[in-house]
Amino acid sequence: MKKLALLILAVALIFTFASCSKGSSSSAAPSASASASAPAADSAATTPSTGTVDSEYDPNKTVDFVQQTSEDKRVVTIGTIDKSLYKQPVFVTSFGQSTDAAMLDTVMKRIGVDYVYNATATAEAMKGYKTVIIAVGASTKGLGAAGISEADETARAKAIMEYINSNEIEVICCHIGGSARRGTLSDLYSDMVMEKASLIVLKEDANFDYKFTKYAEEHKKPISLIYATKDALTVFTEIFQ
Amino acid sequence: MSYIKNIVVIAVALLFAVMASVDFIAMHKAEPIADNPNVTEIKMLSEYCPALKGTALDTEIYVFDSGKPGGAMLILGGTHPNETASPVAAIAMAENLRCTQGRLFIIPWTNKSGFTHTSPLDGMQDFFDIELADGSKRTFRVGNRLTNPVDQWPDYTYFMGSSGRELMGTEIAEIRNVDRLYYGNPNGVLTERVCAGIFNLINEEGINLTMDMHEGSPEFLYLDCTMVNMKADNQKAMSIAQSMALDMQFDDLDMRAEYSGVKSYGLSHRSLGDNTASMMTLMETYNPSMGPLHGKMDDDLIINGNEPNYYQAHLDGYIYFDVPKDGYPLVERVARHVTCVTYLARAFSEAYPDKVIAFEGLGSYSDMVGSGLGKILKPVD
Repeated sequence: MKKLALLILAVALIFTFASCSKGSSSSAAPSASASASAPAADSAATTPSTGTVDSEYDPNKTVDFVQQTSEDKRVVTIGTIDKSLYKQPVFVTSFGQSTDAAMLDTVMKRIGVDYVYNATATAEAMKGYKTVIIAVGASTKGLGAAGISEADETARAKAIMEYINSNEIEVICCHIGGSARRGTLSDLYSDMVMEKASLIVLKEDANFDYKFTKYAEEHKKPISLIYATKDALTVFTEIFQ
Repeated sequence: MSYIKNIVVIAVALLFAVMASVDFIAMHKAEPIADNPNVTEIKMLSEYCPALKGTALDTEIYVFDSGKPGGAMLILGGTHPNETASPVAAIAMAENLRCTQGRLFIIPWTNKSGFTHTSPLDGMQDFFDIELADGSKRTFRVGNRLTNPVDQWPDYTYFMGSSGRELMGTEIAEIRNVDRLYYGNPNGVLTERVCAGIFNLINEEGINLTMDMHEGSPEFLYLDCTMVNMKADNQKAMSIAQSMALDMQFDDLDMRAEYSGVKSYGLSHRSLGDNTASMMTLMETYNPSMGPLHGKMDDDLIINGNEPNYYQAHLDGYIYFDVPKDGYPLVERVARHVTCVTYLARAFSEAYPDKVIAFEGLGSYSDMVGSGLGKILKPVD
């Protein structure tokens, strides 16, 4: 009995060593291996993947959603865009401090538009500009990076919209962050801007509940649906060149 | 008579132990990096943190100085050695690049001690081979995301990092994780000294832009994503990153940029970004060998990145990342890292024309994928 136990122990020892050597592990023990680079226990990592403040996006809701754009049909515009409305210089800002405004900064630069970009601009900064493009979409991380509270950002957004309403400024509502930029605060900013906007540019997966196309249809506003963020370049090139 | 059987059993066990030990000892030998005449100097990190000298964590820095005034970029590979595409991308750049303006610093093995052990209980293997175009073979270590406990032990019961990050309980092993201990402490535990060396390197060399290359398991939410530290007064950083992301999207490569987590204390992009003048970025690619759902662990999984379990999990709606049906080969992940670094440097140079960082030598993403790692990596003796 003693010998048998010794033999079992020795075999177990052999397997222990053998399992450590090269390519031997077909058993692939599914232990709790965290992503090596993931800030697994990092408090910031507990924020939603997209940095969205209050995402209510539910993939299950998209089952009946039929996208009009596709890899082959990257931009679909419903209605007619009056390009003559959008005079330069252009002001680009953000409502919600998502990364999308920085993407617009890049897009404008590449097209060669006469523009200024300031994600945290005040209403007074809009003075003298004929066109304002507002990237709507709230981001916890973006607000944190900019050191702005949700309340302050909302107050800034309201002040800018009041200024725009009392001046002759064309507004383009730009929602290019996709479904990740949907939620109570993001939708609040979208609603504020769409009311005054003469054009809506939307990454179409954000339209999973048809919120934007319904609004555009009801208020007879043109809407450009884009398949991917990079397709914003096509839309704005068409407008400004 | 019975004691002879015992001796035989123990001898057999010892034989296996010796064989396994040979494998483990082999992990202490760094894979060679082929000579590149464009490398102007190979420094050691201990030159920036003398307390690292003679330790297992002192590591090589490949310096490319164009001789033309411009900016300086630091590329960190192998912060987590098991994130294979990171050190391989760094080695590929060290062997192939030529700096045409400004300076480039590449660290292939940021946590050098982490390369000397593996994670057998995670089903991780220790080496993998890549066959080169000339028929020769190069062997790379997989390693572990943490410093080898042989080099840094014991893990404390409580630890407060220089950035204010507290480690305790189940997270305490992170005291051996380079990417939790920035901005480091030259008199701290060995892993912290690596962080202090990198912090000093950035300050002393005037590094303007840093990329820390990583991979994540498929469950991770920040894949194909670049984290960017945006100081409150510098919104240019995110625009530079978005310019890179747009370029990558035009190459049909998914890429997005995200703000560094406000409380990601101790991580390179947060704590070095907050405490140095460098623009800090960190990029992640998908690596199915790192996740707990992986099946058989072998060279095929590491090199071809094809794990049907994850594809099925994605189809079933459990994995956020768009897992490719035919896998995500190492060459594509390496090419993605190199492309990201290249486009980032280009966007940075456009934003700061007085700090241009320019290099060449590996071509475009499609060039690299077309060539394959067998041609990208050079033969070594």
